[in-house]
Amino acid sequence: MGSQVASYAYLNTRVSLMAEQLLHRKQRKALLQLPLSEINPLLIQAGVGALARQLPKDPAQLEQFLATILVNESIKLMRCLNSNERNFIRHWMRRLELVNLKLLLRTRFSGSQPIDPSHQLLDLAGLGSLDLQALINTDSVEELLRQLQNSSYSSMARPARKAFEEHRSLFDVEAAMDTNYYSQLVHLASALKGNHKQQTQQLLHTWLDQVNLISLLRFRFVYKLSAPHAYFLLAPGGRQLSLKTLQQLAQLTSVKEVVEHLPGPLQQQLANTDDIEDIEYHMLQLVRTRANKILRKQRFNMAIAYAYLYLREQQMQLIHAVLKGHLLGLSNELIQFCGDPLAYPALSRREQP
Amino acid sequence: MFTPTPMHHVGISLLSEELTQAGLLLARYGYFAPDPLQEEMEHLPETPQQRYTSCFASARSHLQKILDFLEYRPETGQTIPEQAPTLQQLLELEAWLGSIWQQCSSRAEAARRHEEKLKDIHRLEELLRCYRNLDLDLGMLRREYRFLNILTGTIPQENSTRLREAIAMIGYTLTQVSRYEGLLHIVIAGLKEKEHNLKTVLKAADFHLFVLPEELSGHPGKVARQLQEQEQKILHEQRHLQLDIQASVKEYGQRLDQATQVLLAASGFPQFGQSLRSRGGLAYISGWVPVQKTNALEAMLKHGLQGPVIMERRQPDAREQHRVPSYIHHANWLRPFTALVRNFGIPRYQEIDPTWFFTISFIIMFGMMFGDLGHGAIIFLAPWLWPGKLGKLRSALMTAGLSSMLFGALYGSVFGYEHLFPALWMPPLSDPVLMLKVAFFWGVGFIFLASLLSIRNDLVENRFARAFFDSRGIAGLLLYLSILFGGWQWFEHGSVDVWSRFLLFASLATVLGYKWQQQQSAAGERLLVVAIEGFETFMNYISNTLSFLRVAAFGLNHVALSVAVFALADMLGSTGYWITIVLGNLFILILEGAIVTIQVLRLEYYEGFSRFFRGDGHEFRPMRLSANDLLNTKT
Repeated sequence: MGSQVASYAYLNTRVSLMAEQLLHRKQRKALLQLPLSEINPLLIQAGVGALARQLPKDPAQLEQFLATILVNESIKLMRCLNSNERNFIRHWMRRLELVNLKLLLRTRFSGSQPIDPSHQLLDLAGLGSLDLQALINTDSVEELLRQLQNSSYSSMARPARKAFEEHRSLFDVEAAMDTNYYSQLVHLASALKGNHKQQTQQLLHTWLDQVNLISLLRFRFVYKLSAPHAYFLLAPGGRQLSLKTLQQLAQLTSVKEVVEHLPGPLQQQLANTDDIEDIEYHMLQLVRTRANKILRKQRFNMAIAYAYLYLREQQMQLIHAVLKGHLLGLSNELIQFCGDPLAYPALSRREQP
Repeated sequence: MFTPTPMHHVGISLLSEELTQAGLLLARYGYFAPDPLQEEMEHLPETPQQRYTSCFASARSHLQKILDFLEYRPETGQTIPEQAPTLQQLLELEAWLGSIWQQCSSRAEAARRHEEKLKDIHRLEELLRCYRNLDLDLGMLRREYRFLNILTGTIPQENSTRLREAIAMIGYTLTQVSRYEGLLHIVIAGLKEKEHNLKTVLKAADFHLFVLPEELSGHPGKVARQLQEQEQKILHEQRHLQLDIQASVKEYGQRLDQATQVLLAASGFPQFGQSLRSRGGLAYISGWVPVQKTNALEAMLKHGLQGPVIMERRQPDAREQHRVPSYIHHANWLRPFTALVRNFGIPRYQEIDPTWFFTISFIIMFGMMFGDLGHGAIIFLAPWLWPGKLGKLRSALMTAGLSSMLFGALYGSVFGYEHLFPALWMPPLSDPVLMLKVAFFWGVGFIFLASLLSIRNDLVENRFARAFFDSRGIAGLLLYLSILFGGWQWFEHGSVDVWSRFLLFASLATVLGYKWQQQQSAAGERLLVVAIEGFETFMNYISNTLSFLRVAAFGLNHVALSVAVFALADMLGSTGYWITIVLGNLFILILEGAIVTIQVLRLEYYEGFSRFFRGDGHEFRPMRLSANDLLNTKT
């Protein structure tokens, strides 16, 4: 324990200081409801004071600003971690790079206009590993995947190319990339040690439950994929939704039926819900609750860095939604509608303030 | 020579239709650095010729990829066209390069597929090697039978006997096929009805089921032949592809050379970036040009463009000083020293360029710390002895070698021998205290000069309060002098006179007062910060000066190391003596030479540059026509 305290004291302090920037439920609600002129104190508390002073004119700049904060914070936290832990957090943060990669992939599929990296792609500074210019310069999907093969995403390039050669569809290529990403994440979490592993896996698997359930419902009932195909595209494992459970759920024929057959605790929480969006918000709330719990209860554990980054990212998304709404001149009601996935009283009371 | 070249801000007004030609002319001229427009944006709302820029970027990217794929280096010695290509010409070139890249890309894809197939075949061959001893159709091992259960897989070698015995109890047999790195490839066969008893024992024996791939169907010999045939076929296709690529190089080589030249002629315009804006048919470009080049630039533009051109020039004003690029030009022999200065930073526009200060002090300190006629001669000759890698450092090695030789003559030292010729001054070990005194005064001079340069920089940049009252300003310098003078009085007379004490306290009070004024925090925190910074200022002057004692210490160390080498050599016979002397001198030359270089750099950077050199300027990067830039190749 002594060495644990010594090794993670800095991380603990860092996360404690950073966690001060996380807005609690009432503040998040206020952020959504208040007019732009009155949200400055909340932005300052959320550590984005520069936005309170001057809001970027371009939504892309706003997105970049928020992403830069998130990336910088993750880099600061990674400095306090050992190599396995760092690898996990880095891979977690790579979802931002996947956003870039998918955008490039989509433009190659659609053969649309050239990309302006400064406006359309996120600059991930020290966290980025892709040579974006080389990918932008590609002319076709095959060429893009060939370039990807020579990058740190080579393990992702192979299944993606297989999917492209077999199906020639963007959906399948993206799904192959996602599956590979989740597998890597699970693999990296399993390389952690002791309580770090246990707590990290708890949050990761809760998140994977959300990802898997929502993906399953969309694949089956929106994209009308066959049960085996939908199951094949899911992430490996979860907390309450094991692969076996997912296999059974995939064979059901309606959203309602799936909800009814969910394992006990999940079934209770999602009872009377048969809308995929609603289910997603509920699941999101569950992950938030788990992350909050880890952040408040755990000490000297790398999982608090992971939980913080998860919650911080959620908060950044909320700030982004609110400010972008104001930038675009949307009404307050519409901003609340777009940016409030958490306004469900039935579940919000479970969350830590 | 001691500051960056004076610059003029230049604004060029011209017709929009002549922008591409202006880009070519300015890039060819090589003294125009674009400056992003800061004002007048509302009057110049347009960014002209975006299609030209995007077309150029696309053509350039295609050209780079084609050249990379074909492994072809274009002939760049040809003359760049006098006229920049029009948009239409650029579009045609882009379309041609795009079509060529499509051909290349499909070949690259084919090459990748060949590579993957070859890898697959090698993997199968590797696997087949494990089963080559079996005299049966390998497909039989994969097939499902009604009564028979056949399993293939691996187990750890040590489990084979026990597993064979165990499964024999239920009528199963185990056949060893091959052995690889402690693992046995085995085939297990028996009646299907006993299968349920098999599962647990296989798990206990760490059996890993391995289903043979479908490609391995048939007799091992036949499969091996088939794989070999497939491999030959792919190798043949690869060779064919390679010939295709070579033919393409022959077919397109000349056209690619021309394309490179055309793109070079077009490469000026995209370099304008944000410095170019327009309104209707009129365009405006802003940038920086060395003062002595502005007249020639104006004449060149008026001569090279057909339409009217107006060029305005002015001195940079106070607000834009931080934007003015620093154009520093030194003689070629100073290049290695310039590189070391740039390693720290680029001087601001009005800041002192420390290259000369650095070069002279580096050479002197290196000689003082590594004074030896013989070692110096080897360092001097090193660029000729090892011309490859050391060629670029020729001037630095020669000057450092000369300095080492000069101090070697002063110390009377050659390859560590101190009795071969009389010292022009004195051998270091004969009076170490004098050596330390010289180093001390050298350090005082060094810090004094660095402080003067710092004051000069502040005065030029109109930071008068800082120049007068800061710890690195005049007040700080007076504090330093009072410490030195007071210290000298204390050692000489055992007391410090009133004037020295007054100077000490007055200068310290000034520095502290300035620091107090600079702090914006609450009174308590302010007091703490000022007290700590004041103490740090005081201690820094003392410790920084003492830091220069290492100049003498390394001079003494050089002699001491030589003495050690001679002591070791004396213990051996005549052959051993000379071997030890040679190896010992090599050791001194390489190890001590490297350490001395690092120590000198440390003194330069830490005690010198950190006092007066901010190094946060930016380099003058003029537009240029460069094939290396165009093709993204390293020079």
